Amino acid sequence: MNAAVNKVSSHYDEVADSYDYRYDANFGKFYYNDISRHVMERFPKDGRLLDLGCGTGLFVRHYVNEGGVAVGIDISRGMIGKASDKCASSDFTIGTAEVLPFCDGSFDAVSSLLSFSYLNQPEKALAETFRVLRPGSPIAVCTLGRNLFTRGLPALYHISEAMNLKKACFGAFGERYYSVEEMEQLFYGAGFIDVRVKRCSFAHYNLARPIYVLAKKIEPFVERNIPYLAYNICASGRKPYDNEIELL
Amino acid sequence: MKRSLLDILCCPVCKGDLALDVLKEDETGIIEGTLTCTRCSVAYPISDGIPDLLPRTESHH
Repeated sequence: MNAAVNKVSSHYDEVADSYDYRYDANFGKFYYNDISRHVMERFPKDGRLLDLGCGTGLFVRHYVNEGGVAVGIDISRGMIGKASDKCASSDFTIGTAEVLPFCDGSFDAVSSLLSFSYLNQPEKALAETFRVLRPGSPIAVCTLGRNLFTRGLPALYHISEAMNLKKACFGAFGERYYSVEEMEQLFYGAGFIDVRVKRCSFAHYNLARPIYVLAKKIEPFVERNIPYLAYNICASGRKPYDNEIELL
Repeated sequence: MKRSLLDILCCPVCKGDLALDVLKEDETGIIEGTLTCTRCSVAYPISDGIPDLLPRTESHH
């Protein structure tokens, strides 16, 4: 592993114990359920899912509860340990999306929630995803988009790290935040069709309660009318059937 | 790691088939063991029930 990957992996090993307090309780749980719903929109409910950067298994659990079976992959052993405890019926492996350890056409759906921004080679990860999907099957990625708020994050991360402000931010991992156009280009470039990209999420789980309640109330309006202010981006597409490739 | 997962696993780097050696197994699956690529011979450990299929760059040519 290179230094940047090691840094992400070590960070998540450290936060594995506390991760679910962030996303599986209080406002964080609402937030995670919302993005899970966006990702689920185009997925079959009874297929075999691969979840890239599965973390503690929150989306694997969501998918299994909907009726499917799931395999999770993550670079952090600590996170995978938590996921295995949470979802005993599912399979997990340590690995990276950029070189997937799965045979061609093994999955009916591939998801990635809040992990795509860490990829150094997103093109490679999408090419690998294309390979392991069965023809006709969907992919959906939810990641931080580039907008007014996230544009300043890398600088903030570097400053807080330089000042040793551990609580302030997660750290500088060289994360990449994408625009709608960039996500479309990446998905089409990998060979996916029926590509749809939308911005979602406005109410952040870290907001104080009254502000969160207000932000949550106006979230659908923002997603519909001022999507640039929504901080996540949800991109989906599907692998074409063989006869569709001939037509392209 | 459940044995059924082996059906869809391959070497992350050369995509060759993996051969399973089991050191310890219980009712939940394989606890300790090794997955060895039959094509490029790289070995991937299974420990605490979790396979580690990150590429071993130093041993892949």
